[in-house]
Amino acid sequence: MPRVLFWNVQRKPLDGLVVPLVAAARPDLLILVEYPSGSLLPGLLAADGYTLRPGNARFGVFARTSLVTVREPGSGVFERADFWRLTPAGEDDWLLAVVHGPDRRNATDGTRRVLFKRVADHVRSVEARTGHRRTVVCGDFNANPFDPSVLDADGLHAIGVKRVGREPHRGVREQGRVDYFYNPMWRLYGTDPAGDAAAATHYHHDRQSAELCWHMLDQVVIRPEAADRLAEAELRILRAAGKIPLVRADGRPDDTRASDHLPVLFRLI
Amino acid sequence: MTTALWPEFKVEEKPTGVVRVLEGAGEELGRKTGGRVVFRVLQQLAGGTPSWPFRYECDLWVPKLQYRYFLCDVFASAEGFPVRVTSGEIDRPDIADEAALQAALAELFHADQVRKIVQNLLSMTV
Repeated sequence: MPRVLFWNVQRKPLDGLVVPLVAAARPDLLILVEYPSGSLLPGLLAADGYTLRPGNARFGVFARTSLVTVREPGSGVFERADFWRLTPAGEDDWLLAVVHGPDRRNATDGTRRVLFKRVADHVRSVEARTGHRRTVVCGDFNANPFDPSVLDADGLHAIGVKRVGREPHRGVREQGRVDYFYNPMWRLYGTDPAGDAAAATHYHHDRQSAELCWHMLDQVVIRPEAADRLAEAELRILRAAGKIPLVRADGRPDDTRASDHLPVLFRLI
Repeated sequence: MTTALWPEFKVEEKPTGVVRVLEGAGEELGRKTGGRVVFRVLQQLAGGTPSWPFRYECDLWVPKLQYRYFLCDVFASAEGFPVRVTSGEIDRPDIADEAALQAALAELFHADQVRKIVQNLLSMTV
């Protein structure tokens, strides 16, 4: 039953926060987006049974020794995505795609949509080869669940319902039947009773006339056939690394000491 | 001839209170590791909360690797004590005096995770 923890660490030297975060959350798989050079985590986490799995240098992927990870062929053509086959001992294997969407300041949502469409197409080709759709996509999408790059059928196509007419695909005008992902982050967005409305993984206020302030940029989505195998009660945005807060007194991510993103933890059952 | 514009001030030769305890902790680790891993205290002039206006960020520094591992924060009130020690392993919010601060630091330094980190850092500098 793999537990997966992912966090965009902004290429900062946050080893001193990652170690207690891992000790508290005890994931089977740790994914650091924007993994910094100069980190000593491979040595520091080795004693706890984690090894760094070689892959796209943008991501630091650490897995427990008991979790078999195989990097999917063809992953190397993606600059901002990586694809892994996870095989927990004695359990079903999973396809995991890790994504880092182009940032919101320098790229349009259309540009992110191009990437997400390529990711969705690649996932489809791997699923066809392996013969199952136990597939998860996670990472810092740099997009909200309702942005077209994530929501549209010509993007990632991740929607907030598990079934449309009990089918793992839905009819799209001018396109026919199209498969999709279920996006559980819709349910998580704004559900923290102690926080602001829409408290999510990233906070940004640009003094525009309309502001969301909280953005759910870090997401995990899953194929609808496997949606019930993502333990929704255990899908969490983490606000502390052990006893160290990752948020300031006002609840926003503390980007001076940590990252401007908060980590996300989920478990596949 | 210049006229002194400023009055005379009493300048402490050595740090007192919180800083003295923290810097003492640093010296001990440096001695025990032969200077390969040292405990550093970075004083933050601002950035604390209203209750804790001063923050001392403490890290493990490995000179050979130019590597920094954040270990804990010590927040201090304007009067010095009480202080709060927050790390991955412990959170002691109401430390009243130097003896209690030393006890909290000892608890932190003896935590399994911290021992393991220091041992790992030492093994990387052989």
